Amino acid sequence: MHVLIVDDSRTMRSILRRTVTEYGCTAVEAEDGAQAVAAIEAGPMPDLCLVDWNMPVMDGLSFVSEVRSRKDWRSITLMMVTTESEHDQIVRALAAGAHEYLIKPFTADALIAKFALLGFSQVGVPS
Amino acid sequence: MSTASGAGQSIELLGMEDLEYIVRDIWSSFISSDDDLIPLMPANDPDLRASVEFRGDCTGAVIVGCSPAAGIEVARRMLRLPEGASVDPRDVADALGELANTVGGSVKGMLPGTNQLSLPLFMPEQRHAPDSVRIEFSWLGEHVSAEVWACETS
Repeated sequence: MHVLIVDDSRTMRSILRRTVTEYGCTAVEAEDGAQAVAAIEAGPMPDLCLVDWNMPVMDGLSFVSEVRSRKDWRSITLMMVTTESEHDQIVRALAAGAHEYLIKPFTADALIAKFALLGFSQVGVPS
Repeated sequence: MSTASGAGQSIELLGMEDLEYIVRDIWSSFISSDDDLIPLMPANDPDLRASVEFRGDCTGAVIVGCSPAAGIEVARRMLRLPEGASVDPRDVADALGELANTVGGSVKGMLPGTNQLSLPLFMPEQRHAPDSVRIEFSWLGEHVSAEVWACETS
């Protein structure tokens, strides 16, 4: 499984990268939604994007909307990983096209449980 | 929960026990066992600070602070660098900013109405809001603190 981590905090990107690589995934990072769009365009296509909400340049919600507007990117699974915890925000993200939502702070086990919910096994093949 | 007032109308603001729960939850998720956090009477202005502000139906801020040594250790642990590894000051700023952001998100979820969280700011101007809720801990012999103030927007 190839994961694109989109977060403006290097610390948070590091925490997420550690967990996903220990899970057997490859990972690349982007500091905001615009960088993430460029990373997808450059390839390889990620199986999963972990997306923060509050970022400069292009925020996570705009990024989710952008990915969902591109027919060629329909295969990408999107998970918000954010401090935004209100019900309305979760609904907005899911309505925009996010598949899952994880609220910070989270544990590595919680993140991995979400992978399983999305059908990503540890060997990286969607079940 | 306790009641606090600011420039606007009084609102229900989270209490010290709520803030302590939030900090302990974040600490145990990202840094170390929260058993290492020993509550202190708030007394020290932190040398290092990071904040996020929220605006909307409420106005306020979350400030996370610590000593320089604690800031280095927080960043080292969050980045899982080896013990004794040098830590870039930018990583300390980023780690404290992410802590402030995460505390801010938890606090925002407890406030009334609709509010937006700002991006984190490292070393904001030191200010003491009269109605703030502040907690301080000893962590590995160093000081760590969190402070929240909020009022309903006029």
